[in-house]
Amino acid sequence: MPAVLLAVLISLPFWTPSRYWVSVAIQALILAVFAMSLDLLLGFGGMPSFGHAAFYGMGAYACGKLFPQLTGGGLLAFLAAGMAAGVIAALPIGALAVRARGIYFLMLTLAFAQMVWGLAFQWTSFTGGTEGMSGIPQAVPDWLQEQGQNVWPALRTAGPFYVVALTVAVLAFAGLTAITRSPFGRALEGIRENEGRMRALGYPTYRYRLAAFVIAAAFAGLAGATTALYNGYANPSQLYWHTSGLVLIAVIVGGTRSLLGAVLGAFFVTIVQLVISSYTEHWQLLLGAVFIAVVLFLPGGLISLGRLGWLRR
Amino acid sequence: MSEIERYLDSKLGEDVDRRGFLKLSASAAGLAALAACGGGTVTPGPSGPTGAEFKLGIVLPYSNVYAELGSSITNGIQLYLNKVGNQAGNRKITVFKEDEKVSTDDAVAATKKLVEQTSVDMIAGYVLSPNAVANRDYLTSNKVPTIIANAGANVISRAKKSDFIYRTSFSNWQPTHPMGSYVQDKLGLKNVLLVYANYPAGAETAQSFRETYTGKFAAADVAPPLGYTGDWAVWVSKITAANPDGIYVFLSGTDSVGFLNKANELGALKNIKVTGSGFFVEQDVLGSVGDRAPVGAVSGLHWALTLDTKENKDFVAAYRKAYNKPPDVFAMDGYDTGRVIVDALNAVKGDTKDPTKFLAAIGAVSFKSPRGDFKFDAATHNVINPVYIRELVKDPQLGYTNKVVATVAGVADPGK
Amino acid sequence: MNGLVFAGLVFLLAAGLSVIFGVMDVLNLAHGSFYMLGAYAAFAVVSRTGSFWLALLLGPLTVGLIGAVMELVLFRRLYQRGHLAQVLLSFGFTLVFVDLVRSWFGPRTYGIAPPPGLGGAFHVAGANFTKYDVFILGVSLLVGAALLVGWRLLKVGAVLRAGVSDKEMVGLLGIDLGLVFTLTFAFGAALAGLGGVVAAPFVAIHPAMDDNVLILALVVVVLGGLGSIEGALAGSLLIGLAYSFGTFYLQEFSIAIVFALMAAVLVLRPRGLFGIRT
Repeated sequence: MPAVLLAVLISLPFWTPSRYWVSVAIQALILAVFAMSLDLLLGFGGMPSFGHAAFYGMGAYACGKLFPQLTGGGLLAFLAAGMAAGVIAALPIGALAVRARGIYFLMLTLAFAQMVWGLAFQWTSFTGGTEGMSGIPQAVPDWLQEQGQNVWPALRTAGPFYVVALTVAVLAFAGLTAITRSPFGRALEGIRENEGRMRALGYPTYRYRLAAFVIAAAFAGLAGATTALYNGYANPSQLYWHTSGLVLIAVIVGGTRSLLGAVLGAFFVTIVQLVISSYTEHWQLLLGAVFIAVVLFLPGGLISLGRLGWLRR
Repeated sequence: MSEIERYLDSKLGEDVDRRGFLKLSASAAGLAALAACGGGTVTPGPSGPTGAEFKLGIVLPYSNVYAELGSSITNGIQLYLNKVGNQAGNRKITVFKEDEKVSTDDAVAATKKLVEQTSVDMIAGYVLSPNAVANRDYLTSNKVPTIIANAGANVISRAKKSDFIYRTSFSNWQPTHPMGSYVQDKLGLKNVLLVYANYPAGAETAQSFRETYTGKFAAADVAPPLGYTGDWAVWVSKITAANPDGIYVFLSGTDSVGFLNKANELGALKNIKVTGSGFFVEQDVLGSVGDRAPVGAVSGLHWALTLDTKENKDFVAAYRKAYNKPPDVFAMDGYDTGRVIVDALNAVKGDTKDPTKFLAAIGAVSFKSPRGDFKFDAATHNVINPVYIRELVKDPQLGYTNKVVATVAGVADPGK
Repeated sequence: MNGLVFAGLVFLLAAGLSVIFGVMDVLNLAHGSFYMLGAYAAFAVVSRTGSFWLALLLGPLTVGLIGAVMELVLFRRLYQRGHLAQVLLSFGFTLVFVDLVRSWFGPRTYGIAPPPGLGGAFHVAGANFTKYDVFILGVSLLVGAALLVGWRLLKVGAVLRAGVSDKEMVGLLGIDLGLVFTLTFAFGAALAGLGGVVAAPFVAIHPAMDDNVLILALVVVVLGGLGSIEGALAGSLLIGLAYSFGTFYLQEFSIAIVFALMAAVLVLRPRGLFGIRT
């Protein structure tokens, strides 16, 4: 299935009816990276974060705050800055948060994220307040820009940046897959299932959980940096609990404990939101109904549809 | 008007509103129906426009906390388009609406959809400054002629002025700048306290006031967070404690309603001259606070419901007829936005292939608006218009409303 | 005083959330929507009949009924599936409710005046507060006291407390847990509805009013300890004061302070101020 999805995504710019769908795919890919990072925490680590937007937003703000300095370093400098911002924020927050479990972990992460949001929203002199920071360059490498314009003249800047977003998403998928399949990933799942036993076996469970938290934050920061580059701004709404809620919902809708599920969920949420909201004023009603229907009829999320299909074959 | 009447009034208005929206979202199919309901006479045919369809994209909030503004502006634009039969320069004008919602990500997605999927010929809208600013580079690099119909950030007329963007509404600097000296010289206030929502628009307003008011301030500014949900008494008591002879207020929507209600309950404004940027006592707010309105408040704004000109009376009458409620300043901004688009399209005879020419035509539009003389500033792309100094009164027919007491003609943003 | 009044409002909201949370272990993001529905119910009743007192009766009843239906039809199916399913379901409902409210009442902001007799203000020893402030405080103290007494003394309280600590046990005792849950959910919703009605003359009524209060109520409940009425009281007080005086003295950091407080309590006392140690 990942191969099919990848093939569809790679070929998208060649058959899409308009460049709009490339823009949509870029947004969905960014949300996918963000959702996969949350799934490492939620699905594999059993840590339901309701404050993951903190690290996504930090990634975006790092680009916004540092873009005069980072521009010389190009794309990689921006992406690295986003990841670093995620890690720097996650170390103290994680050190305190991963002690808590379940609903308390959920609330603690919410508290920390809202704290960061409060600063971005009100501390105007440092963060730009409600208007945030704008004018961040896309930082697409020159060679890609030129090649992109030649290959997809109709796509304008969306084409080259699509390559960036897709590459980031594929690398994130590969990286997170490697992590979940490594001994570390297996230990993390062991801790989720039975922490006491893992501790008895000599695993430093606190450090494992903290490491998972920091890695997830790094990838969330990566997603945040990508969105800042693509849209050109960092803004408090990227840190607000709505954003944490959106990514949480993408993961649940897609299906937890599966990176592919997170990707599917991200695409589903992005497309459904965009499509519904331009056909009716009552997009909230329909979107709400869709979420309620998914809870009731697809307990395992969208990914369970795929599994059913696989079995039947 | 009683609470019930006001309620019924607005209910009726909303019904019309909703029907209007649904017809619009059915785009082409809905156009004929819409023209019919607006009283226009365009049936595309031998006498109708023969040029290509002109696609007007609108990005305004239709959900969440700013939905009321979005609805007013849309009503205004639609009212003018209906008036001219939804056509100009031999082109049929079709409106495509996208929801600005509240977060910038949504506003950006809405803009991209209109530009890339619908391939609109131009965009109008943007209530929130962060959304206007965040879309600015995208609109500019994609060469989309754009009219901002509300967002007030000064920067749009200054450092981030764009060749492709004009503004029909105001810069935050504009309504307040004449007020500082008026408060000081005409009202004779010597010890003023600034009250504003703590976000960039509030700060820009305060800055603008300080440019022309040179007197004393009673205390440090009272600046609650934007969208404050706590107890307004906290802020009101700060005013009481400072004991100023007047306050200058920049609040809008729910913030203004919360503030005025509490201040009235506490009787805190009885011995204080209330002044401000007109939004805190605009028709939308007055409809919500009812008898708790601060009668006698003096405010600056580029329009008033009671403006006694032919253009304004015609506009107010037409708006009431179409939507069954009085317009507010946002509806008026929308109406002028519609007019600018139509006039510019007529000027280029419908030829918008060269965006530079079309933009030049937009910049050259000038007319007698409901707000008075309307023209664009070539240097800032911002509107130049009068600012009216208004006093809040209880009118036997109109209920609580603002009456013009002085006019400052041709107020233009300084551009830096 | 000003912080106290706001704390009273937050308590009405948090108490319901805490009861639902504590007894049923349900994380209900639509709780802010119940508050919004209560405020709109107040507006609808007052604008038609002019009677605030009728609204005070009908508002909570209507919202409680909506809550009962939601529990019976939907939440009931999800108890086995944990918090994430509830998050998704109740988030879906927040969207549905906000849309319905906007469809019925339009996007505009409404306000209603305090009922006759409760308008105006007191000026005592330099402090200013409105008569309606005193009413809010009175209602929330009354509700708080009734809950505390009910929780401790009545059989209902005993069953609910047992529900908090051991669900199977209650089932074995032959008590219909399903009915208890429906009633609990309806009661919690009605409390939020009551909060909405009481808040209506105090705030601006608009379709996004559920948003901020939901997070504040969550903060309070977690601060106080899940399912603890004392905790909800203490938490409301803390947050009400912090939110009011934080914005007052620490302008740029006021919001951050509220959440820093929440984080600090959770780090130091992971089960909240009054939570049961496990």
